[in-house]
Amino acid sequence: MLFLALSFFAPMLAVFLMISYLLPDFRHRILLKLSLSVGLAFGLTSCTFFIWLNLFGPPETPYLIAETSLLLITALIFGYAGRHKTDIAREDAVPLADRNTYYVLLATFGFTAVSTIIMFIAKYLYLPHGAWDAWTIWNQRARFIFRGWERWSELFSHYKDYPHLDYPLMLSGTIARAWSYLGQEVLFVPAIIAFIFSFATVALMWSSITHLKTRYQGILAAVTLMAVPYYIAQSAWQYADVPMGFLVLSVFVLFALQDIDSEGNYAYSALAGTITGLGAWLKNEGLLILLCMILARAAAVISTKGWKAYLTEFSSFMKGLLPIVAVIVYFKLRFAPPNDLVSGQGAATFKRLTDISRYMVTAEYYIRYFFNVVRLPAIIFPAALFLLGLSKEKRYKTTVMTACFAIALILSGYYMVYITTPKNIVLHIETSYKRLLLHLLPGGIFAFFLALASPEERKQLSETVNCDSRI
Amino acid sequence: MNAKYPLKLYILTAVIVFVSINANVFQCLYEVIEEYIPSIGFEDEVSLYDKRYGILKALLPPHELVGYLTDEDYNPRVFNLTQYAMSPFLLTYSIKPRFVITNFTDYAKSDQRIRYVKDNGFVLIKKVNNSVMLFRRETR
Repeated sequence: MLFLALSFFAPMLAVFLMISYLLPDFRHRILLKLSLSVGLAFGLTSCTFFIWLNLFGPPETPYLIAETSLLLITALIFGYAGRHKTDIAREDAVPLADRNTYYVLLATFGFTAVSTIIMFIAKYLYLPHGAWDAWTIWNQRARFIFRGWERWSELFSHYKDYPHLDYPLMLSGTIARAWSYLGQEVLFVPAIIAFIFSFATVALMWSSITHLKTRYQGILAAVTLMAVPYYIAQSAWQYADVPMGFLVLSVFVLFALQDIDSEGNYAYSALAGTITGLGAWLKNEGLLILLCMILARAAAVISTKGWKAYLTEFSSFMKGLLPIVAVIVYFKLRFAPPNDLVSGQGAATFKRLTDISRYMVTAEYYIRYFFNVVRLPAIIFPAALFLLGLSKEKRYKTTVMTACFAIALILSGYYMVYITTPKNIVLHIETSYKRLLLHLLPGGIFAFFLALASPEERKQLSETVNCDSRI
Repeated sequence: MNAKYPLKLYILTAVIVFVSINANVFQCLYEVIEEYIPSIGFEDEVSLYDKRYGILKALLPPHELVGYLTDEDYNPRVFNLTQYAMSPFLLTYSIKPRFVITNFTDYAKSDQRIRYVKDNGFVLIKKVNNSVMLFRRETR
C-alpha cells in the first residue's frame, strides 16, 4: 500500500509544488492546484514509464528508485524556489448571495457524493475488471506490459487479433506503472485510477468556478456535474473517456486563468499545451481535440485580443505541448499499427460523404443521445439561464468563446468521423457516441457556469436596480 | 424586484437539488438492486475466464504464440475475454501455432471436437473441462 501511495502521490506532490511555483496567482487554492495536478502527474509519469520501457527495458527497482528520486528532487527544487513567494492575499470573499440555499446545496453535494461512492463501489464489486473496453484495451495492455516486460512490444505486431492497438498508452501505462511499484498485479488499481479521475473532475469543477466566479457558483457547477450519474457510472467501467473529460476541463480552466492573468505569466498556456498533448497521449480522439483546441483558441484570442497576444500565448502553448507530441509521434511511428478508421478510407469515402441518410442518422443520434446521457439534469441549463441570466462580466469572454468554439469543432469532428466511418454507422454511433459526449460534458458545464451570472452578481444587480428606483 | 431575486434563487436551488438527488438515488438504487445484489455469490465473467485458462498458462513455454479454436462463429467478446485471461501469451484466431487452446460451447460434442483437433495433427496436453483444453502440434 505504501508503494501504491508512493506511485500516486510522489508525482502529484512534485506537480503540485511545480504548479504552486509557476502559478502564484492562486497559491492559496489548494483544491484547485491538487485537482489540476492529477492529470499532469498521471500523464507525465506514464510518459517517463514508456520512455524507460523503451530505453532501459523492464521498469523494475532501478526505475522505481530513479523516478522517485527525480520526483522528490523536483518537489524539493520547486518547494525551495517557491518558499519566498509571498501569498497573494485572498481577495475579499464576496458575501454569499443566500446562506441557507448555499448550505442546502452543500448538503446535496454531500448526499450525491455518498450515493456516487456507493454506486462506484457496487459497480466495482460486480465488474472488478471494468467493462468491455477496459479489459479489451486499457487493462489488457497494462497486463501485457506488466506480465511480459521483455517482449511487450510484440503485442503490436498482432493488431489483427487485438483491437485498437493504435491507441496510445497513458492509461495502460499508468496502471502498469502502479503495478510495477507494487511488484504485483492488484485488481483494484485501475478502479482507483478511475475513481481519482472522476472525483478530481468534480473537485476541479468546484474549485475552478469558485476561484473564477463565486463560492455559490462553484457549488452549483459541482452539483450539476454530480447530477449526471452516467458520468460516474462510466468512470467505474474503467474507460478512458472520463479521464479525457477531466483533461478537456483542465485545459479550459487553464485558458480561463490565462485570460484573467494581468502579469504576463504564460505558464498557464504552457500547462494547457501539456495537458492537451496528454489528451492525445490518452486516446486517439485526443488528436482531434488537440487540433480543435488550437483552432478554437486562435479564433477566440485573435478576435478579442489580437494577433500579437495570440502568438505570444501560442508559443508558450507549443512549449508545453511539443515534448508530449514527441512521445506520441515516437509511439505512433515505432509501435502503433494503422488506425482502422483511417485505413478503411478509400474510394468508398466519397460515397459515404454524399449519402444524405448518414447525416440524418448521425444528427438524430446526436440529439437523442445527448438527452440519453444527461437525462433530467438537462433542465438545469435552461432553468439556470432563465433564472440567473448571462453574466455581464467581460473578462471570461475569450475563455467562453474558446470553449464554445472547441466544443462545436470537436462535435463536428466526431460527426464527420461517423459520416466517413467504414464500420456500420449505427453500430459505431451506438457503441461510442455516449462516451464521446463525456469528453465534453465537464468542459461544457464549466463554460456554462462561467458565462452564467452568479447568484451574487444577480443579487448585486437586483439591489442596484432597487436602490435606483428609490432615488 | 428585490423580492423577486431570492425567489428565483430558491427555485433554481430547488430544481438542482431535486434533479440531482433524483438522478443519483435512482442510479444508485439501480446499481445496487438491479446489478450488484443479483451478482452476489456469482463470480464475474472476466474472473471466470482468468480461472478457466489460468491452469493452461502454466503449461506453456514462455513467450509462446497460442492458437485459438472454438466451435461457434467468431464472437469478439469471448475471444477478447480469452485474450485477456491468457495475457501475456499472445492469442491468435487460428490453429497455425504450435500450441492451441480451445473454447468449445457444445459440451456434448466434446469428444467429436477433440477428434477433429487430433486429426489436424495435435495432441491433447491438458483437458480442463469439456470446453477448455490445450493441444500441441505433433512433431514428426
